[in-house]
Amino acid sequence: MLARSCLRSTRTLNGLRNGANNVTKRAASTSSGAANEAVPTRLNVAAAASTTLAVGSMAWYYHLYGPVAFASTPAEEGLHPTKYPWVHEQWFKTYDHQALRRGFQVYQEVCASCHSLERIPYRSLVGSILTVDEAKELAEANEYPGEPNEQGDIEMRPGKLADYLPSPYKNEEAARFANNGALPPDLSLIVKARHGGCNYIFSLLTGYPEEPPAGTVVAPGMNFNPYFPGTGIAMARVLYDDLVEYEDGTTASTSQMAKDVVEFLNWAAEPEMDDRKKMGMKVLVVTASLWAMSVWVKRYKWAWLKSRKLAYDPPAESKVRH
Amino acid sequence: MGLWDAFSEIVESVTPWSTVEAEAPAQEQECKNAPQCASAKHHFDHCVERVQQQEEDGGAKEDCVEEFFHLAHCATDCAAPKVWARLK
Repeated sequence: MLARSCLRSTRTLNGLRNGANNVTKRAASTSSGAANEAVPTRLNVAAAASTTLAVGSMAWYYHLYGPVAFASTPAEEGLHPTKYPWVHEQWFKTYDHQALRRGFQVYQEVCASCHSLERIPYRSLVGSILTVDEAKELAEANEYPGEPNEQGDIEMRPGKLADYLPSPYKNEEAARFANNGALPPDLSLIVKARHGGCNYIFSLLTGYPEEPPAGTVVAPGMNFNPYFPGTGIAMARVLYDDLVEYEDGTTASTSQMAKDVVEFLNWAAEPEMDDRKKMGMKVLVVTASLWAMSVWVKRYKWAWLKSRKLAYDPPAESKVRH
Repeated sequence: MGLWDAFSEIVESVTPWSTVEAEAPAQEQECKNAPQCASAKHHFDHCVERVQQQEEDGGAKEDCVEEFFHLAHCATDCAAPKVWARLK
């Protein structure tokens, strides 16, 4: 049964092939008839249409892909920041807490008018940047919604240490509306959130050139900054010499303020860094000494085996055959 | 006290870290003219000249962003340790 069906299938294939041949033959033979006599106008229309289509599609393709594509340009990528020798990035160094204090001052006086720092509570500033009294005083300067009163209304109360730093805008929409559509990012984790971290932010703050390089088109309302991907940034240069007055008498140059505020932002992003490094050192010291002890114990325990001597003491020569 | 003030003023004016204005742009400007950035500066200047010529002839066909990047990269690289040495 199977063999027969197989045979039949080959036969049908052959038949098909023959049939196809026959069809073409027949078509060829019939085309010489009167039915498909060449109609010049129709041919011309067909030729014109296909030519138009071909030329049109080529033109369209050129329009799409023909001109030089300005993609993946260095401007689009942004200038990669130079690596600066940050002290707090060294293995055995902590944050410079004087710098953190200055940086917090810069944040408050300069950045805070547009950028929020909403993940930082006042309590975390205590001990690392401010004293308790200073932090309390700072918190009390702002109002926060309190518990409902007897009538169920929420009254505003002065801030406490447990409150978070206030944001300059109510929400993202308000921030965009106030800044010409651009959203000033929250700075709590910005050092971790940007490629290049501290170096990038320092370069961004200090890297505004006097004027953009020749031929650059800067969109209206934007500023040229080589470090910002795309080079067009909505934030204008904000740090100028002597913008703030440091309480410790440090010269408030642009670079000094940028360095301080970047170090402060690094603290904001990872306040646990000092403790983490200390813990890391403890772990290294303890594990190293435990390892050394384990080596000693192993050698002690194996000493009898390692120091034994195997000696073959052959029997004395004798004439007796065994 | 007057004597002490005069003395501390003299000390301040002599010690380099208190008198120097800690400023990156000035340092970078110096680095742009340094020999190691000569090639980048040459290319940038050349580009600026070319583009300004194009602008006079009606519309710049290119910009000097790439050349500027190379120059800025060289200058900041050279200036970084010097700036850090002056900052607190």
